[in-house]
Amino acid sequence: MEEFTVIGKRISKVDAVDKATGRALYIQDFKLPGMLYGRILYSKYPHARIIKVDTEKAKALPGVVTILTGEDIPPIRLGVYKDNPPLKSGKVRSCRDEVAAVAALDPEIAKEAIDLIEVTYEALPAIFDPEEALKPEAPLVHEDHKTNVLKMPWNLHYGDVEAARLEAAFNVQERFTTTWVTHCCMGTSGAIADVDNSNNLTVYTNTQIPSLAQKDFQETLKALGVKDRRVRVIKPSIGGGFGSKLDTYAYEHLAILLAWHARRPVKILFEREEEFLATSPRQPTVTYISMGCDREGKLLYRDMSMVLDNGAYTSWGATTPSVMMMPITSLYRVPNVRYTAKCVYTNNTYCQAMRGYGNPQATFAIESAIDMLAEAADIDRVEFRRINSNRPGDVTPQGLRITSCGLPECIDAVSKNLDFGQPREKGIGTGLASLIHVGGGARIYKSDGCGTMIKMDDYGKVDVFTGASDMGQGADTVIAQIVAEELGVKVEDIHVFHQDTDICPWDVGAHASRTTFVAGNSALGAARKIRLRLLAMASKATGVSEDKLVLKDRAFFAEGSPILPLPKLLRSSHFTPKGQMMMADNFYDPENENMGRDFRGNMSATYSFGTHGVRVKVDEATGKVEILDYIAAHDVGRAINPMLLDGQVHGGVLMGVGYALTEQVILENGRNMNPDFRDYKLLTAMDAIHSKPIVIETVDEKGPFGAKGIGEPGCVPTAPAIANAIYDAVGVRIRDLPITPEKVLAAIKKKKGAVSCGIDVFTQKEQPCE
Amino acid sequence: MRLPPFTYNRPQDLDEALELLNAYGKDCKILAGGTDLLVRMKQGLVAPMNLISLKALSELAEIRETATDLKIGAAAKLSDILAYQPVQGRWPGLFESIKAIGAPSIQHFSGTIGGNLCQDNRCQFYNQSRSFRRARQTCNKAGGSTCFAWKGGSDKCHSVCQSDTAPILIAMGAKVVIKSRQETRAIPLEELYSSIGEHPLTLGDNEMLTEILVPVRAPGDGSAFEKLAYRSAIDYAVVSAGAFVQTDGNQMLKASLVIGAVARGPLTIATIEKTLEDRPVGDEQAIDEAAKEAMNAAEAFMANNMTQPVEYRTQMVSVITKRALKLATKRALSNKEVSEAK
Amino acid sequence: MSREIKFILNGNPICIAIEEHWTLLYLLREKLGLTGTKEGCGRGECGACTVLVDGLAINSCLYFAVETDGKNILTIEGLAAEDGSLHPLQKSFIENGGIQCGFCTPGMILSAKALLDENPRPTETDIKQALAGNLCRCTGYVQIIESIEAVVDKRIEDINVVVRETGDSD
Repeated sequence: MEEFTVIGKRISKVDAVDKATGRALYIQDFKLPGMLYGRILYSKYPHARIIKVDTEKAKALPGVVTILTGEDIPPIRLGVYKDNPPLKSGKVRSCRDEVAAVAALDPEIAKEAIDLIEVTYEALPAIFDPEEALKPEAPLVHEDHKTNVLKMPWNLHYGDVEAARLEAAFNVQERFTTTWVTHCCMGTSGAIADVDNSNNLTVYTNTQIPSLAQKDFQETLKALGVKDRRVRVIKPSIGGGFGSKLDTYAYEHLAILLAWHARRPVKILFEREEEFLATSPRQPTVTYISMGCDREGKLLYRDMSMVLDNGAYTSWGATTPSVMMMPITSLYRVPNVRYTAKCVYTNNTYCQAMRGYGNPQATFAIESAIDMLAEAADIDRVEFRRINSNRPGDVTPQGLRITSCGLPECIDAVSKNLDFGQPREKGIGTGLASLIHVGGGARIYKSDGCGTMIKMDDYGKVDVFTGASDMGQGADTVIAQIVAEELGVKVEDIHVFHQDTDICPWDVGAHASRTTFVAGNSALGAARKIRLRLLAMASKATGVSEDKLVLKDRAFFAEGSPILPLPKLLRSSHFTPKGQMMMADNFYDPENENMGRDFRGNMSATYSFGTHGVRVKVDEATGKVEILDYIAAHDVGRAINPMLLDGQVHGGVLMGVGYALTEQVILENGRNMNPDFRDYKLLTAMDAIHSKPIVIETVDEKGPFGAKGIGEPGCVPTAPAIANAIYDAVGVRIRDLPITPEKVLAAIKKKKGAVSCGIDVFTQKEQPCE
Repeated sequence: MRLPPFTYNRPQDLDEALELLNAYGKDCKILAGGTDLLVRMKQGLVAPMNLISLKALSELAEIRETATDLKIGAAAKLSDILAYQPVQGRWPGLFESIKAIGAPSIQHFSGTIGGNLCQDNRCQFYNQSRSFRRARQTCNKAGGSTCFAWKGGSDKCHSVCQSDTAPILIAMGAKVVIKSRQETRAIPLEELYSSIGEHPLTLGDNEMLTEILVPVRAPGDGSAFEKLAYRSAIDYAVVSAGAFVQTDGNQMLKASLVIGAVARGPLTIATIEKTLEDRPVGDEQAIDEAAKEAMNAAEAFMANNMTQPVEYRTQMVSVITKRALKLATKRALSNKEVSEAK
Repeated sequence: MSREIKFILNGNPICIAIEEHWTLLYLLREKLGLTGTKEGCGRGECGACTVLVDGLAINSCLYFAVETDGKNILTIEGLAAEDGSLHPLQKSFIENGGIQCGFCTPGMILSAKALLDENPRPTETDIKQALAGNLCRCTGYVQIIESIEAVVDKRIEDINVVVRETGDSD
């Protein structure tokens, strides 16, 4: 086995000291001289015509500098579908629609001014149920779009599902639903925009996509009539990402527009309530699934269709089916697959990326149905998964090329550690579920690349300028480890810059669990270039041939002994005639493929796998579910930093548990009813689970030192594993997330023969029993 | 989030506080721990011109035991009550109810028992920001004339009392001392609550809760508090129940039960006293009957004032009642003084 | 109304004119520039604004600045020793993965300090209870709890040395 000095070590995060001492600066902490405070007025109605916006009283308030309404701004359209102006005019389509924005001397004045703006609306019939929105008589959310169905068709059919269905010995057919959950970043959203006298723009913002944000902001400048000016994006420490910062939002563009008009820096910082109601949650889904296997339990087909509640506008949430396709076509070996998904406009809040990007919703349906199919076939659920497990060398129907694959090992590890064979107790049950996720980037855009520049100084200190974005997950630390290993220095010799587009190279963003793999490979490539030059120089200086030299611990070693300190060599390169500077750059774009028209294509250079197993206890009187044991086994290629890796898993698992059991954004006729931590049930330390992460190292040949991505997988199979355990414990199958106590209880009662499952408080309709 | 200005008063003794209260009357709020009041101020639900802080009044923070009562000053911190040694052993129901409030530690270092008892009622349509409320008609509690929590509307406010300590303290027969500049009165805690959603307390504008008197433990009695919540901390109850029973080891001599988080005030289930009286200890049927009575009583008050479905909350009244009664009975039986009394 | 208050802030006496309606959080962040104390919700629900008042962990967003008069306040900026050496809890959070995005960290560390000052040998349940008012979205709390346990268990030898030599590094 290779010996590493830095890779595979539990190294502290490079920014942890600043964070532990309160020195790390977040957007909340930034103030620029002369800065104004911006605030947004949101719609009173989920769907209404704007008859009049009267800003006279607000303008008269001392301290108010600028007020903008939808009529005052140039045409700007945000999002992948370009359907979302930062301020609405004519019509509002959801309760979070931005109607006006104010910049004032302090936040309180801005708030008061917002209250003084008088808007006259004419309410319109609204639509909140995506399946209802499909009907011809449903009100149109965007009239000029002619239909509520987004023109983004997601259809694939590989093999012959109907023929396979006829062949199958066992079949299941089910409907699963999921609702909105939100990121709950502890640091709320915020941005500061500053336009200088030459119309160059600087934006301080919480973003996971500095380079793409730069382009979006450029578009807004262009709409203002400014061309060819610089846009600089500065990224403070980010108080949590989880996908929430994969797009640019109205508030960022409003900060720019207000700053442009006021000619002063403008900061917009969300309060917690605003964070809940005006940021974009995970996409709700209605999923129909059927699946069948032969007598031996071999999967023959999987047939899925989905309706996604897009909300009133379109962000990346609408493209989550592209990622759902991966588990749908490729989680376990399944030769015949069909999938169709419709994203539907409603007057609800619009959705976005969130950790897992559709995968948790799809995997909830698939893995719940797998358990049901195993039961129908009377095959042990662990064995059933073993039979169908992916293996190295597989090419899945969608054309995903499985290279390294530790799924069988993950299933075994969970089976061994959870001890499924334990004697049964009443109300206690076990469940498991697996996952596949992109682990080697994901070619969503034409490029999946990331740039790195490295510069070494006289003393062996290294500056790494990366395109990658850290939002707490430890991207900077992992990159520092990779560079330190390659250059034979210590992690503390490395300074990673990732905060500023004026300094850092291009990258498509921190999404798809791609940073360790893509930014890691990019950094590794740049470091390797320097390493080769250093070895050549050292060889020349010492007379020892390059292949006999080892670079480690800040020195060159020959036959086990240090013969030349690295700093000395570096200095000599500067202080020698015709000297050279130790700098290198590298752009790494993985060998993955865009999906074709038939959605085939090897979208990732490699894939991550995992299996979670859980033991739950169900209180049959209250329906409350308690988690007793949790095992999370992941094939990560190689653990660059086992401590940060465990952190990703623990955090992902608890987020998944919240998704499974407690979390939901409650919208009543499009209005958020629980915009605070009291009623949005984010789990607390007292609910923490001592999950046991198990790391399977398959050392992927394409990964940096063999690593694959692990940012998202932790929360992917959690909900189905828990749903399966609840079924095992009390014999009820919950098909609707979150699995709240009332749902479990209703299902238990129904199973025992109770008739009524009660009236749903919001719809005032009879609740369907499970 | 900054607050609108007010005048802050920090009286040095109780007399001064009562004097101020008398002078300000309506236009004033008492500030104890602030964990309820500040949130409501930030949401614009209250905007008092004057605050009277109790922080300097050490006399209101005292906890001591007398021959007849556990006396707790209204401004005693929750953390101090938990730390007061006798509480856990002798008043386990009270101990549990305090533990269940907010987050142990943080809220407990600020929150006070008086504040927990005097907190305002809550409703998912009321405890929201100004902008949320502005999108609807003004509800009864906010001075308007409708109720969103009651199906078909109502001319009454159907908010819910979420005090965790009130149910168990009422069940144990606690009294409270209420003072104004003019008079001092001691009333059963139950009478502190008006069961009027708009104004859930019976306190006069110049009155203040100063002390809670919990009867000392008698031979063969036991208390228990049960709370069902979705999370283990920072969560209001879906349903809570305080139960107090007295047995002679064989039969129930006395029982009282108060349900929290279902009605406009703590809901005393008076009928169960008769139901359980003289029934054998451990009589499951008796407990079932009591639970059913509790559920029926609660059902009449259930409103859509929380995010959890009314149907579920109603069902849980029965479950939580049974658990509280059983635990209280178990404690009564293990109450060592029972054997001594025999 | 404006008034003058005196208190000890991170070991140093301070005298400052404040408005009565300011919260302690506002005073710390906006007037004293101590931005290590974070605002996560403003409603006492997340604990990001936790500071110690006379050793007790409180939500500074629900605490009036005026009430700090005469009190001893510790914020995250005052936790390390004067020579800059970190408090054992800070070291342990750094070394045990207790920090990811870091937004909850100052509050977490201060809640943990309040706990350990009161109870040097807490159980896992004690620790979870002490942190129950501090929400974290990144870590699932596991490595935060482990960070505190590491201090308790004296697993980290150099932390012990610091504790023995300097005692409480307030």
